[in-house]
Amino acid sequence: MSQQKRFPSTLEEHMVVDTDVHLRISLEQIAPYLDQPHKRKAEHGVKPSDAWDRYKSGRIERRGYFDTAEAVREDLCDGLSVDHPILNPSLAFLPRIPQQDYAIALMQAYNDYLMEVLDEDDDFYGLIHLAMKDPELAVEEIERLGDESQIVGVYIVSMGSEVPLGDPRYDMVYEAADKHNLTMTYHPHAGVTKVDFPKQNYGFNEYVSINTLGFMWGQMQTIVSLLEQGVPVKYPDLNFAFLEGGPGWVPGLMFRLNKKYAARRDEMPALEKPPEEYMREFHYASQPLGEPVNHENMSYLLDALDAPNTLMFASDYPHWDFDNPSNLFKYLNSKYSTEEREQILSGNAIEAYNLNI
Amino acid sequence: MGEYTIAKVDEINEGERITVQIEGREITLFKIDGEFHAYTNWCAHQSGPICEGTLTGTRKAEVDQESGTIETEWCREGKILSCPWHGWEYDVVTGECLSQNGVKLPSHPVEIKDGNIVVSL
Repeated sequence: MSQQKRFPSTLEEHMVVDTDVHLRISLEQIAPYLDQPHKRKAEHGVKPSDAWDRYKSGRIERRGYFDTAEAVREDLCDGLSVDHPILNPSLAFLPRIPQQDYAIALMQAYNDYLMEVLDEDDDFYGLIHLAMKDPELAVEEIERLGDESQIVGVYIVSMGSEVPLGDPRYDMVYEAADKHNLTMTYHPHAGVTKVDFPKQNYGFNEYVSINTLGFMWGQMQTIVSLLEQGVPVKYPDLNFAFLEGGPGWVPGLMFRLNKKYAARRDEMPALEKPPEEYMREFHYASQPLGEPVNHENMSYLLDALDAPNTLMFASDYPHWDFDNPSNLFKYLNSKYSTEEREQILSGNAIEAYNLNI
Repeated sequence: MGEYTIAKVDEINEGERITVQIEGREITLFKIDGEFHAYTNWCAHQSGPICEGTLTGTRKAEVDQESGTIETEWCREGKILSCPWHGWEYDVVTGECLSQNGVKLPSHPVEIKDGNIVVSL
């Protein structure tokens, strides 16, 4: 990254919690954390891939692996003025790994790696990745690491699960997260879903299409499933956060669900209030912030979302579509009071993840 | 504001670029088809280091509304600058952004004086 700082210097006056920071760790780096026979697979780079050209054959900079506390401190904290990153050891292809035991071993190895990075810097927080193929094993992982002081949530890929994530087969995971005061955090992807569910990503010819849709689709599907099955009613103390969908679709889903729920209440009988009111208790990461031709439309969207109470800053660093803080900051400066800006830059994340700051 | 000598004419080869700091800004000078072009190293999108990006071609489409067909071809090889952060494309000759109407990279006049490349800010 260029040495010149590329965000407003006034950002440095605010505390910034970044809720979506991916540790990009190579399989070769992970291999020492695995036992045989999985160690060999990792040493030989065995993982699914999907042949989508995310980095436009080098025209978008691929920042390489982002896998040390030092890199996070220099590139993100110093470079983008982030005070507290919430790190996830992202393993986007996890739902696609056909071998159950390899998937579980990788989940544990990536989480072990995360713990070592967290040990090096008290300002960092982390989310433990859960493989949801076998909910009992996901619960074991929560029991193993859920009480570590810097672990504040669980990270679940909201694509490619056997069934939508509100399904009762996953209740034991919600119960375990609730018991350990961990925030449920969902992160969608494009291009990593299973062949048979959901099929909607297949058939497009360009990555722009599935990237645009997949991230919204994964989060919308998850929220509807959670409400259908009454998960926030069963676990009223559990917090829910949704990363990398951006905020644009949220009001639309709230209002549509309200209408459908009112007409078909007996199909979501556990809810005690309109779906919108549950969704307003969830938190949404800002990245990727949409880019309307008329900037005023973003202002209306942020109003509909009640951004000072629901929106959390996120960069998605180091991915190709990360948001420079200046992108969100231009709206925050023109629209909100100091207090409201603080809420979006750090306060909502502190609340969503019960951060000890 | 003023005139700044960046380099000697023969110090920059075809297809090459040099970035300098002038008055607190990063200015990049490109040599394309024998002509020099100078731009501020600041992408219109999110302030990324556009002038550090790759120079490649890109795909353009010809739409025939009468027949309802679209033909695409690769064009402008070596003349399309892609921002390393998010891929925004600019024509390095005109400074025009390919995806945003009316958006251009800030450009600066370049003259050759006594074998020196001089940029005016």
